[in-house]
Amino acid sequence: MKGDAIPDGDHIARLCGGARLDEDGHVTGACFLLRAKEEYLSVNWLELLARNDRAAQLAGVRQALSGKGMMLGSSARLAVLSVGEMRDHIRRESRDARALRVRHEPEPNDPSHTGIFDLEPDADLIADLIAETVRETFPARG
Amino acid sequence: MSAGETVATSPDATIISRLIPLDYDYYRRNVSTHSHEASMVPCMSYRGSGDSLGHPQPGSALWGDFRQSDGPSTAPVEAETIKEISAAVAGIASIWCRESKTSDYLRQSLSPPTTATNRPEESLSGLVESIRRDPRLRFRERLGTRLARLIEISREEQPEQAPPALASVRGLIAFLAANQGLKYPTVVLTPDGNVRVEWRQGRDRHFAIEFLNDIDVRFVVFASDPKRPYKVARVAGQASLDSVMTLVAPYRVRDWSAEQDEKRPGE
Repeated sequence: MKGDAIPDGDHIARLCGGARLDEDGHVTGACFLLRAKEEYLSVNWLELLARNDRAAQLAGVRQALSGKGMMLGSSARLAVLSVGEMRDHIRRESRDARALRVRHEPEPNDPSHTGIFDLEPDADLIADLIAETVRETFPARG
Repeated sequence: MSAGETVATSPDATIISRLIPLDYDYYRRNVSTHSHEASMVPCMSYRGSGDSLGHPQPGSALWGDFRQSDGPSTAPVEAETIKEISAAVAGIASIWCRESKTSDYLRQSLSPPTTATNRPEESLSGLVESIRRDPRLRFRERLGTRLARLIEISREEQPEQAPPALASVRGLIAFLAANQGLKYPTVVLTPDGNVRVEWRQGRDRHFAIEFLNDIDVRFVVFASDPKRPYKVARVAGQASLDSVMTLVAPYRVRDWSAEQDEKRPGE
């Protein structure tokens, strides 16, 4: 349901465009920066798509993103993060013990759509901390 | 440019919005002897063709005016100052063409009208080519190649990825030219197209700079606390690209971002 907190034991995936990855394809903090006027960072809730099948989860994310008309670039990656690890890391390491909220924000054509809230202030510092918690990445195009 | 064109025609709102503050010190030293402009700065804009960097070219029509130095409003200029303004614009225009002292955002807005899709990339292509030839940049070829690749990716991923912002690229160039001892950084784009560079050697050696334009930057530092090295200090802020290295000096950022002294003490 919209607004529900995503369980700390679950995982999220973030589409990381190729221009925000380093030359070797590794995630940088730029992958987690907000656009101007963006309220939250868009991710997808993997366990909503499939329980313990990463391939099926990622296929669901790719389908949802493509279905929304988003361009999955040839060098883009999907970064997978543990919700609990990310939130713990930010709470522990940020200057203000930031408690990020990860909330379900379903859209009609993207039911697993989710938001990471409370990135401001110091959103760039928080973005660099989030990047430290990326567990694994996969090609965005599959 | 005639004196009449310069000020007496009362530039319309569009032109006024394009006025660019110029180098007031240069103006004071070389042109102005009038006291009534003490709180005003000379401004200039142009109509006509510009080169890939947004500089006016021969044949461009130049416009001069004065602006209050402490506010955005323009002020009427008396007839006797027209000649003086013309001289100011002519003198400063030559400086402006050589130096980058004005707001790149405004300069970009002065570029001649082209189609929305090709204007940024045409300008960027020219800028990237100039980077490859810039003797001040130690990694000019690699940087040029990387920026060309980022342009290519932004083309492929639009509209999710904005192309590199011209002002931001200029900021990067100015910063690297002024800090030639730095290692080649990771160069990426923010979603909105600003260039962000990063030097990283682990969780306690991280330094990132986002170039907001050709003057301002945002920076992030993760470093060993200067007083308690077992703790990690984390700092973020905004500064001018001229002062950011001074501001982060207490965190010994150069220890890992500069070519020399790459190792930790004792290693």
